Parts: sequence; C-alpha cells; structure tokens
Amino acid sequence: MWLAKGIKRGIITTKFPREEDKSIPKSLYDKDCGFSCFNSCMNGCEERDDKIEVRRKIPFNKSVHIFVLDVGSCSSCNREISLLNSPQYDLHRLGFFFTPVPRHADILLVIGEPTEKMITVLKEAYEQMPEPKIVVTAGACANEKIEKIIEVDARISGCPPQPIAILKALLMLTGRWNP
Amino acid sequence: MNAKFKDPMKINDTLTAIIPADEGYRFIWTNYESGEIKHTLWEDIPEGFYERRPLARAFMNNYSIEAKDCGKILTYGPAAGGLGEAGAFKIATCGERIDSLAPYLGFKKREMLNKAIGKEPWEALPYVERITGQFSISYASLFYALAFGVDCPDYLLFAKELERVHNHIWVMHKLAGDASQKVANMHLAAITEEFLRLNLKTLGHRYGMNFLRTGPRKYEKFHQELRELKKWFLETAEELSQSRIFIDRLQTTCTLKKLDILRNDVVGIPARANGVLRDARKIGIFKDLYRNYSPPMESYGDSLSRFLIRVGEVEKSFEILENIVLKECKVKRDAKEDGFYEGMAEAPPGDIYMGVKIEKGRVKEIIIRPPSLVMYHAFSVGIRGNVFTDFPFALDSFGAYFSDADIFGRWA
Repeated sequence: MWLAKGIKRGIITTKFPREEDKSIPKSLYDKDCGFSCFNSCMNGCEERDDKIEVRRKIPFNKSVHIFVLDVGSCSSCNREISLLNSPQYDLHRLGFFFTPVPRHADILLVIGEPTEKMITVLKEAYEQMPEPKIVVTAGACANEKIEKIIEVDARISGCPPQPIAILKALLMLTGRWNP
Repeated sequence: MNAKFKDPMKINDTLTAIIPADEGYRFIWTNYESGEIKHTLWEDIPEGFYERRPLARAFMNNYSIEAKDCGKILTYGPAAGGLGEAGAFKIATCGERIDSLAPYLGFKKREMLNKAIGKEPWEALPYVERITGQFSISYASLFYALAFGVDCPDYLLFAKELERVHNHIWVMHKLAGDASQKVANMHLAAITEEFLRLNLKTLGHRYGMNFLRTGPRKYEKFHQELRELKKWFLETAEELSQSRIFIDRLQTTCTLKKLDILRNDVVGIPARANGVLRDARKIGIFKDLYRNYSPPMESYGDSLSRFLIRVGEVEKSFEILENIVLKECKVKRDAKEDGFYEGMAEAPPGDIYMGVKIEKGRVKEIIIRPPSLVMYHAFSVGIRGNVFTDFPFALDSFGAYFSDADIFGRWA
C-alpha cells in the first residue's frame, strides 16, 4: 500500500543541482545584512536566508560525513538541517551523510549562539575531528559568534537558513557545484 | 502582581511556576476551571513540598537520581546525535530497564531574553519570537496580547493553527521514524516541508517569525494547497494508525496514570491524553478565539494516546484554517500603559505562562514558564520502568525542546 501511494505521488525530490528548482519559495527579503547581522536583524533588517560565503573549498572524492553540533540554537536551525533528509532534498543522493560522532566527521556544521556550557563541547568536538577539518556555521546566531572560537570555512545566512541554502553551501564547499 | 504569604502546602490549584523573589519564593498557580492565576509568597520551599508537588523539582532544578542494586548512572547528551539538541538526561539503569531519569538542563541557557529587557515592547518582540523557533508564533502572540492587547484575532488564530499543524506533523514524523516506519516517516517529513513553504508564502517566514510585523499576506493558492496537504496527511495518518508495528511500539510506552498527571501538575497534550482537560485555549488569553473548540481527549495516557491527540488536533486545525477568511489587518504598535500583565496561552505541546512588566514604556521584566519544562518532567515520570528501546518513542511523543525548557525563569 505504501509503495502504491509513493508511486502515485511521483518524484518530489528537487532537480537541483542539475537545474535550479523554481518551486522552492525564495526568501521574501532581499535585504543583504551580511552574515553577522543578528543584532541588525533584530532591529528590523530581515535578512536573506540563502546567502552563502565559502572561504575555503576542499574537494572530496568520497562520501562526506557531517557532524551537526547545536551550541545554543532556538531549534529551528535543527529542524531545517533534519529536513535535508526529507524527500524534497534527499541529502544522501548527493553523497552526504550525518554522523553522530565528530571522529567520523569531515564537516562540523555548527548552529546556535554558543552558551557557556557548550563552548567546551564545541572545542572538544573540533579537536576530535580528523584532518582536514571543515567548519560550517549555519544561521545568524552561529555566524556571529563561532568564528571567535574556531576557524570557520563557510557561512550560511538566515534565521534560520533554508535547507536548500545549506545544501548549496555543502556542495560548493566540497567542489561539487559552482553557481 | 499582588502576592500573599500563603503556605503552598495548602493550595490545590495547578502549580505553574516557582520563581525566586526578594522575600523568598513566588509560587504561581493556575485554576484550570476559572482561569484565575494566583501568586503566593513563602520564605522557603516547605518540607515535603517536593513529594507533594514533584514538578517543583523542575522549577528549582532539584532533580536527584540514585542508582540501586547493580545500577549505574549515565549521562546521555549534550552532543549525542540521538537527542538532536544541546541537552542531556541523567539515567539510572541496571542494564536494560530505566530505573529513573532526570532532565539535565542548562546547556541551552541562552541570553535571548536579556536582550529584550530595557527595550520598547515592539522592539522586544523579535527576541521573544526567537525563544523557541518551533513555537515562535505562540510566544510572539502571547507577548503581543499581553503588551499590546489582542489585535487582528483571525490572523492570530490563522498563524497559531499553522504552527500547530507543522509541529504536530513533525512529532509524528519522528515517532514514525523511531518505529522504523520509514515510508510514513518520509511522507510526514515531506508534508512538514510543504507546510513550512506554505508558512513562508502566507506568513512571510517558514516559522512565522515576524508574522506580526508582516501582517497577512495574500496567497491565492492557499486553500488549494491546504486541501492537498490535508488529503495527503489524512491518508498517511490513517495508514500509520493501522500499522501493527507502529501501534505495538507506542502502546503502553511511557504511560502516565491519571494520578501522575494530577500529582505532577502536568498540562497540555499528556494531560489530555489521560482525560484531564488542562488547556489554555479554554481559559487563557485567547479563549475567545477558541470559544467553539473542544480539544481531542484520550484516556490511556501512553505514547499512542499522545499521538492520537495530535492527529485529532491536526484535523481540527485543518478545519479552522479552511474556514478562516483573512482580511487585511495591521496590528497596532502602541503598547499598554505601565504595569504587570500576565496570561496563559497554548503552544503545540502545552501551556505557556508569561508575565510582562512594562515600566516607563519599556520592558522591565519577563517571567516565562515554557511548556517543554513540564513535558520533560512528565517524560521523567512516565519513562520509569520502561526499557531503553522505549526511550525515543517516549521522548518524541512529548514534542519538547531543550531550547524551550531552558528559557524558564525571570528575566530582568
């Protein structure tokens, strides 16, 4: 029965990165507040949720494992990252997988404004990662604060950033897609 | 915020919060029949109060667990992949069975509300929206109603129901995943994503942050898309409810008896899953919006009952959304006069209590009792005696968030 329902519904996975997906609604705000705009956002500058800054590209010829570390988010970034597994994005088809331990991770994806208790956890997770260590911050909270603690290789704007923006950043970072 | 010195051992209302105050401790109580909120003062936590009102442990962060016999205490979290958030639990176990469990909070003690203090209420609103992204609309609408009054009621109801639907569907998605119902899990994830896209088109943001500043947006295909999503959801939920594997995993898992609900001052979905109607929609600040609403009720108090309550609520939310005719409406930006305003409102898992003090036109103090704090406490009560494999079914059935639980307290 499940199978029949699935076939009836058809493929809903985005065609991205083969082609741009116009069915994904874009951010209503085109104001560019930069990446560390948490305070300016709070004061009425609603920021875009799809701006990406990649500082260092590291091409991988293998599947890439991501360790997500929440250091103090409001939990909406967590949901957006979880939704990368949804049929619309299907992260696995592009060779990305989540791992529950930093020792198996190629990418540390950090979300949230670091709380006092989580700074130690962040540093420890970073130390435990094998080389080359890639750090991505997603969302205005993390963009503003994490680079003061560890070196950051890519940032994604938004409060929270949309899943498609996170997906684009991961592909750009690993040299698999160039806009 | 008048408060009398009164022995908390002699009060029968529902304990809503305990906040440290200059004179000792401020106890906040809610009468779920009349809707009255009372404050009482006492110099200390009376002897025997934690046994009489175990929820007080959550407010005072006074959990303690002991390992018995061959038992050990292990800490699960805060970076463990399974929890998905920066939070932890202390678990006493002697192998497979969970003897006792305590939420280990504080990893997400964010300074979000400190930034709101000293600002004008309208400027403070964006910080309140970001207390918990999943319940952004619930928090923002309650804060707005307290500091400004209830304005554009249809739009508030519309936004609140959109939030309820995507939250409940996400909880069901997690439960289906826990029970290895991967196809249903993916269907529900896809419906959630479609709903968040619908939020973006109608509220201006996927989680409704800034929905009050944006105002209602015209989206002509709203009803058409809503109908499709409703059909998709109902088919999936029906199929899932007929799966023996899914039912077996949830039934009798993390059961809360009626006595547990009453003794532990539990509210929201776990209370209604046990036939106890504690729902801020009937008594809180938005009771006029829900005048004709009768919340779904169940009677077994297990994870399956909580799941069925969510299915029922989503169906009712769809009905509300289908019938709302949104008019153009801009909410007023003039805050109320100086004073202390308090009230309750329903977030998807349970009730929020919020108190806002405005002084010289600026926010002087915010008191918050988030629903997740009660949910984690209820989880710690229900999970005792369950085995480790029940852990995800039990935890996910409450739909709680650490970011929410850690915001509890008085911000001034």
